[in-house]
Amino acid sequence: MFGSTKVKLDANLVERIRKLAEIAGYSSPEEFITHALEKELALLEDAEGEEEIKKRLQGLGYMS
Amino acid sequence: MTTPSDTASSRPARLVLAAAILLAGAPTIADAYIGPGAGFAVLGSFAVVFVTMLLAGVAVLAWPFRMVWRALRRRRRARPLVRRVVFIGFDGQDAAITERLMAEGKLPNLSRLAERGSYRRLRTTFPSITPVAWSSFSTGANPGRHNIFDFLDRDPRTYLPRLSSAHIGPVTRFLKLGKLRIPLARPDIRLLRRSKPWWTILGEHNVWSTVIRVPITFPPDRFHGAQLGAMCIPDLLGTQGTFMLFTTRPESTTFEEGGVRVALEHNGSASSFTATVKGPENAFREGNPPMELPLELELDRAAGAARVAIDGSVVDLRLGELSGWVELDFPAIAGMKVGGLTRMMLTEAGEHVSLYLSPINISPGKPAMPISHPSYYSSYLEKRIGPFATLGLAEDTWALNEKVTDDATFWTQTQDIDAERERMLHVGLDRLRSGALVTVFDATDRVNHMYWRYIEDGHPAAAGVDRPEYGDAIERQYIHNDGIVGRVLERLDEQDVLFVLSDHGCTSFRRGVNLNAWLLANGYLALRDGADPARPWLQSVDWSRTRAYAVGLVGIFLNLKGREAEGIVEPGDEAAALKSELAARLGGLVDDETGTIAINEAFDTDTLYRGPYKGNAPDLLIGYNHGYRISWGCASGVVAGRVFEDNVKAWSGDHIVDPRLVPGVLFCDRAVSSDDPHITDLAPTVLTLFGIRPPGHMDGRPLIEKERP
Amino acid sequence: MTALNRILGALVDWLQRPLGGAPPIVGLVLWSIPVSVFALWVFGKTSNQTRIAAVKNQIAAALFEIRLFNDDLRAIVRAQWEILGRVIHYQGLALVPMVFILPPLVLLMVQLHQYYGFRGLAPGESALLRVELAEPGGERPDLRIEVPEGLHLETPAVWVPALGELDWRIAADAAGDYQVGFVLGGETATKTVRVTDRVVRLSPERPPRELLAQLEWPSEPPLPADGAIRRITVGYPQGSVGLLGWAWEWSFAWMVVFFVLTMVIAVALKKPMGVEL
Repeated sequence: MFGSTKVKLDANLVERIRKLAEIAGYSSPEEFITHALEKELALLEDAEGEEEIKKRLQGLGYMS
Repeated sequence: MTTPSDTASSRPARLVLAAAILLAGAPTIADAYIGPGAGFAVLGSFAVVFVTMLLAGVAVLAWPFRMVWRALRRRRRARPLVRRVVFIGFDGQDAAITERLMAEGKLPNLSRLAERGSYRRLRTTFPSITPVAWSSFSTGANPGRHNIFDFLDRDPRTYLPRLSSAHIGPVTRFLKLGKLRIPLARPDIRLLRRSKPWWTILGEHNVWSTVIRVPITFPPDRFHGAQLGAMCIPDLLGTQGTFMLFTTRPESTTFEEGGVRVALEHNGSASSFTATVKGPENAFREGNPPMELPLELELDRAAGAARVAIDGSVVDLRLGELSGWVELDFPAIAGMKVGGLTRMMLTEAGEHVSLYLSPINISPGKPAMPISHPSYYSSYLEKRIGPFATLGLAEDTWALNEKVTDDATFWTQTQDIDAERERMLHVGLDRLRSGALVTVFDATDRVNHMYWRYIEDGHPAAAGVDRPEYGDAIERQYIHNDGIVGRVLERLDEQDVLFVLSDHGCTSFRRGVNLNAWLLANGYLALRDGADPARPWLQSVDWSRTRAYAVGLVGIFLNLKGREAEGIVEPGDEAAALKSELAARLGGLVDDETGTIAINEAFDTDTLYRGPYKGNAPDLLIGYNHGYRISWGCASGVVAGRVFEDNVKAWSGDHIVDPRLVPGVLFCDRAVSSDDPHITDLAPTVLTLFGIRPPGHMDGRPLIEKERP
Repeated sequence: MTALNRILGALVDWLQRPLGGAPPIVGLVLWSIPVSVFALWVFGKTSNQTRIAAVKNQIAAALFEIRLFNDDLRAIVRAQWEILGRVIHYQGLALVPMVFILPPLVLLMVQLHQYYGFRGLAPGESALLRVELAEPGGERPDLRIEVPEGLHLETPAVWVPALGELDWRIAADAAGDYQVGFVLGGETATKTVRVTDRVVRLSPERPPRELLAQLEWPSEPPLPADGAIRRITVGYPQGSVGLLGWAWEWSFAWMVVFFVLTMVIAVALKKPMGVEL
């Protein structure tokens, strides 16, 4: 969220992304690209440990 | 004739003169002779004035450049139709209750708004819960486009639940110096809400917004404006709210969730006790041990009072009375402290002694996490209005559920937080010459949840009702809200527009439904051999034989091959058939014990949502009937138990039901063009009011015509 | 006043005695610690701490506003006005404790000025010695000066009729404490002159018997109220304060250093002492 880095992309690709981003329901081409990359990263990254997750959910008032 | 002696002997005379002048009231000269105290005051004042001038000078000099820069960056010149747009959000304010109280003449300001402008029921999101609905308010988009479908999401790689709105990762890079570790990177804290909130778009057009406590703003957005985050800001322990009970009682029972019990040890006498407050993890030390503060308690049993000493502060407590905010600074390493705020209460002072500490809020004055934009905005508010709650779910519903606190304490907590919020609103309004302001008040939702058992005969949780004076708590809260609206209305003029809205309503929560128990009983979910189905987080499930499971609060996921780690349901026809089958069997599901319909309809989210993120949604969304909700056990992934069970917790009202049953409210001091507005309509409306054409990704439609209102 | 000066003087002399051989900066550091603690304590007890904290918070908030609304010139001006108003309020709040801190502190600082404001004469050095008569404008008086061994006069007396003053340059020959005597008619008076390189009490003036003059120059008893001699002064060289080879020679240099020292100590101690400044 904080701070950003610029990445160079092929102008043609960006143009295609720009055209399709709004049709797909994204608020910006950046959001489109971010989503595409995060989907790929999720396939590669390790999942978090159970304890860590449970601790963080503790106290969520809607939880039991 | 001037020699050194002349000056030497005449100057001391001035010294005495200065004393005389000082006593007559001219501080500056005399200060030179008194050093600390007043001397500091004068120097400090000069420093303040100097810094002020410097800052102002820099601001004035930079102003033309900033204006040019903004003019270059903004897309189109906005032609505002109004000066200011103010939103007051009352989370959970129910349409039916509001209408009844208006008819009884108890909400004069809202009634005036309805007469002068308009009142509508406000359609909410599917599901009708706070994070989803406010995200749609912010972005003008359906959940398929903003990616918030529930409080919880599950990690398809592990089936474990995770917070849907924010990712808070650990620090992974350190410089090691013996036992000391210096973090080399900030923890990865990301907001998972997608799309673009209307305040960001206003900012792109150089329109200022002040956004106070709108849920799902942690970490904060960066835009031209100021924002104080809300729901899902953790406490200092990194949880969503963990209270502490320091007690001499033996640990016979544990809290189901939301609290920890800490032993209160005798310290030499029968009225003197000590304990240790365990704070946040210390990332500077190997193994992340918690930072600690010693606590000492001196009890006066006869007076029902105690004196608590902690971190240099001394707090005097009376039995059953909540203290004000107490600052706690946990030492991390020399020279570095992590600041928190808590409120304390002595809950028993007889044979046994117990001390309640509310969840330790991140200090707004020196926040340990990014809770506002700009980062100093929370410090600014703290300077203006004093310390305030920062935790996402700041009202301690769990301490009340666990009967650690009581209805009176919860009421005090809720009302105090409401008062803090109102002061923030007015600080924001004071300084808003043009632009938008939104403040969301949470008390109504919390009061609905916790005091519903007072207004419904035969509620299973009504057995715990022992304070008849809270019978009208919900009504009092709505009347209080009406007062908030009245005080804002007094400060607006015809160039301003006011919206009062809620994200959903509330209804009864009498019976819990354990969807996983139902899936088990009907052969959709299987247990591992010998596994204890009472284990939480679906630990007992045999995924190789499970076709569907429930995680979170609102829906059911299919165990889809290629998506879930151990998925067995083929995407496509098989999945569609299973979904239809489940929807058909769950829709109209009857609670045999009561003979009433528990689930009105199970919605296929594939048709419900549009947008790039709809694949992250549960496959089915369960629309419960009045009186029903997912059970406490099922929400934490417990498969064991009956499908239907009574809800006996103080948390007795809820809105995780068929969204059509719990619409919100919408008041405006102008006429609105739609008879049936939806919560996604507000974002395009505020853009329109500032002369900006709503972008294509917004689903909502403007509620106010484009000509000048 | 005379009695008070005698008691205070004795007390300060006793406390100052071990510091006589040390450089002035050492004495100043040691004095500034108790003074800071005292002033802080009084400030904490006599000021409205809650209101001071509140006013300071609002000043900080207004400073934040200048940053927050740096695009909005009107908001900046508004914040500046607010700061100005609140600084005045803050000063007002700091005034009350000053009333309590100031009297004892002025008395103490006058005493310290006798030690640190000046330095004693060195052998071979001279200073202006001046006698001021009660009645100026008359004939040149027939005043006899008695200079002890160890001092000598460099110049004859210079008579300034308009001021009623007789001036000499008096030079030091050897270290020591001397009493210079004056005889005018039947009246006699004395004045101390100290030739020393230690930090000791110096008396640049023997004052007339007036309250303010005695307050200012407490080291020697005042001259009689109805006498012909009003005051006698010795123009000691200005004191200096230095550290690590750097020195600042000015009779008020010590006060500036002392002020800074007390401020630093006060800032360091305000949190442990729980005082809002």
